[in-house]
Amino acid sequence: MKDEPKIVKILKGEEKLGRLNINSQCSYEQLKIPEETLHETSDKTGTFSESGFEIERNIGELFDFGELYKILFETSAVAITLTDENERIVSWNKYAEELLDMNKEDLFMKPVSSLYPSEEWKKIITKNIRQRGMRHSIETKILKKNNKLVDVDLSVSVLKNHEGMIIGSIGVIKDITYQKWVKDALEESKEKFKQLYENAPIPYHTLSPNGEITSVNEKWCRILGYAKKEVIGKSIFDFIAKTEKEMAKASFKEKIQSKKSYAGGHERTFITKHGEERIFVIHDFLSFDKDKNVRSVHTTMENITQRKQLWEKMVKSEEKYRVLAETSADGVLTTDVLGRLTYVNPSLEAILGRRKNKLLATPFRDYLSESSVYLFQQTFLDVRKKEKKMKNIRLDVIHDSGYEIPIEVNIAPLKKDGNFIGMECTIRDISERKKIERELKQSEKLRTEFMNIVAHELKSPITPIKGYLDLIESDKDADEKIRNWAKIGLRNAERLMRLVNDVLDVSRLDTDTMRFNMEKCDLTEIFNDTTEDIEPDIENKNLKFIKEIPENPPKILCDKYRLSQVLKNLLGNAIKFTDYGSITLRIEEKEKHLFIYVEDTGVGISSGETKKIFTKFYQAYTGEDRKNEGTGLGLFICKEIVKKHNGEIWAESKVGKGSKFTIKLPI
Amino acid sequence: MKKIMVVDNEPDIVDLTRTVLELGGYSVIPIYSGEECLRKLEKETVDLVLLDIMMPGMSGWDVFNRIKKKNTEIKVAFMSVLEVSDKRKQVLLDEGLADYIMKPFDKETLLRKVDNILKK
Repeated sequence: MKDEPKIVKILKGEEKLGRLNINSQCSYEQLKIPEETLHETSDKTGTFSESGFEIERNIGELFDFGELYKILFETSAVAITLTDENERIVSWNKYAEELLDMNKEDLFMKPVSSLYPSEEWKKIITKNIRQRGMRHSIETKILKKNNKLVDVDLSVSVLKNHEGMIIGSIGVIKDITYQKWVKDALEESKEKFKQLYENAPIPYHTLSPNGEITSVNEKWCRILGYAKKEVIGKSIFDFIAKTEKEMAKASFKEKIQSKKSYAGGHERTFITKHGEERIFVIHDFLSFDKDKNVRSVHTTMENITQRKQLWEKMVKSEEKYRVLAETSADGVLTTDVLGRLTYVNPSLEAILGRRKNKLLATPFRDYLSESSVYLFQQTFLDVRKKEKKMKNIRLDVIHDSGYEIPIEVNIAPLKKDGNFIGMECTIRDISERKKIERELKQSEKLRTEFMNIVAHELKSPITPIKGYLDLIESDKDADEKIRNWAKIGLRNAERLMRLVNDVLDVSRLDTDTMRFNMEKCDLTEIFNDTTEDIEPDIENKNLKFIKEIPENPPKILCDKYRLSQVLKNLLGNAIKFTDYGSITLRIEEKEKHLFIYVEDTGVGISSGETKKIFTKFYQAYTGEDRKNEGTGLGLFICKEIVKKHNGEIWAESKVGKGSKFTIKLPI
Repeated sequence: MKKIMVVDNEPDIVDLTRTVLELGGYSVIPIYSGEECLRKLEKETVDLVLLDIMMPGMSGWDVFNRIKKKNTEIKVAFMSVLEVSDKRKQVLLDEGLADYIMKPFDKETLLRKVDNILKK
């Protein structure tokens, strides 16, 4: 259709306006022009009926399109008006009536100017003049019948005859109320978007597909310390940390190529104008043109600098803990709720003699000795139930090579968000300690053995000395004088024996090899045993023995033999230093303690000496005439034995009046 | 006459014990080591063995255990300077020990204890 007449082109261009062929009869019918009026009109003007529209060269060609144009004209959603050379409306289509809410009375032969508000008409005229009658369009307002204004887009084409004379014009009127609304709404939303964009509390930038910054918002500028003009047009990569630049470029390129509308959620470090790092999580939204090429990239940025710093701090401290755990000499492990290993450190690998990959996800109890499994399971349940730490649990693990290793375990519950998720154990290999303990025990045993040998060697010679002197002394056939010498020898042999026993006791106390067999003991039994031995001596000295012992004294934890030794010593001293009066053994139970008193009416001890008498080899001054037969060790041994019973011993005394020794023992 | 074997590495103590026991009317076989004691017991039967504990070579403990393993009927009593706890003493008595006699002893005590053992 190269040689299509210009008018057709024009008409087609004008929203495919139906052809106006006023020459043909049918055209009249199609146009909503009443017949009588048309005739009238044609008579008056003669333009339409006689000469018709002879536009450019060949009007006849138009007929080919008649039907099509007719339909288009009629059903078109644009209003079409046709005016004569005097700008009076002569023809219009159905939609024009609808748009203007007018009928033929309102339209026919009315000046077209009456359809527009005067100021709008002026604009139309002005534009028309400027366009010199060439086709043009203008956005204007048209008056409905009720004088309501409707936004329209008007395009006017001036019709000329073959002589170039203006014969009329065609107005194509498009209701743009909706478009206008859409446009306004769009403007508004653009504005809103701009506002959002500008004022958002999140930094935004928009990039061209090559990474050039086309816009940024204020927040962006504020965070990174730049003014907008310093940024626009620059490459976004100029603002990214050196270390990430290449990665960022590659990632951006990939994004552009992938043509996915969203990409992101990754971290990017930007550098502020002042050279500081700011870390963001960025989200890129790509927009595309019609050909599906990336038009721009919109990026929202979430500033996580602070969070990241906190996190890094945390990681660092975690790192610290990790390093601690990894380098700890103690084994460290964590398990899940079922006791399966979720973490093991190198020390634990060494203790168990197995590599991490063999250990992880296996139950820890698999590596315990048979005897340890039950205790461990109980402890595990306890830790879980009570959510409390358990310390120094003694277990044995089995090394890969099969031997048992004694360990000490601290177990703590592992919690996450308040829920028990497993446990954490630190494990100490105590083989070395056990060895030392064994060695210590061994050395203790050796020392004890040594003390026994010493005791044996010291006491053994006394046995025949004492034995033979005893034989002589008791031999009624022997000479009286010799029997008397033997008696003196025997007395001193006994004294030597006491000395040896005291010295051995002191040595045992000093070397901590004195054995105490602590048992719950019935005190009555101890008292009876003790007093039985002592009573003859009391009687010999004509002293009164007062026993104040309750019928059922409490049972106390003690070494029967040693406690009796203490009492014998105290009572022995009392007898030794008392020539007149009485000796009292009294028991009292108060303040959850047992008090044992040994009182006498003897020579007494000066107040300055009541403490000294308990020291090794100390002997109180008790008068010149008194034969010094003691070793000076007795009270020291008493004090030490009482101490081993978690008790106390002290003396109260008045010279010439007597002494009172008190033993305080816990019940 | 009841026969008592006295075992001690110290000859003076063996002699003293023998003297005392003979005064008490017993016949005594003096023995000076644990090994000798066991050898002699292979050939001879005695009513009582008075056994020292701390002896060079085989100790009194070892000798006691050997004797008890072979013949639970024979009576054995320790005679020692070592003090043992009541608990330990009870354990020994349960294992078949006749008595635990402390050294040094006096004539009366030794004879009383031996008489008691042999009366049972």
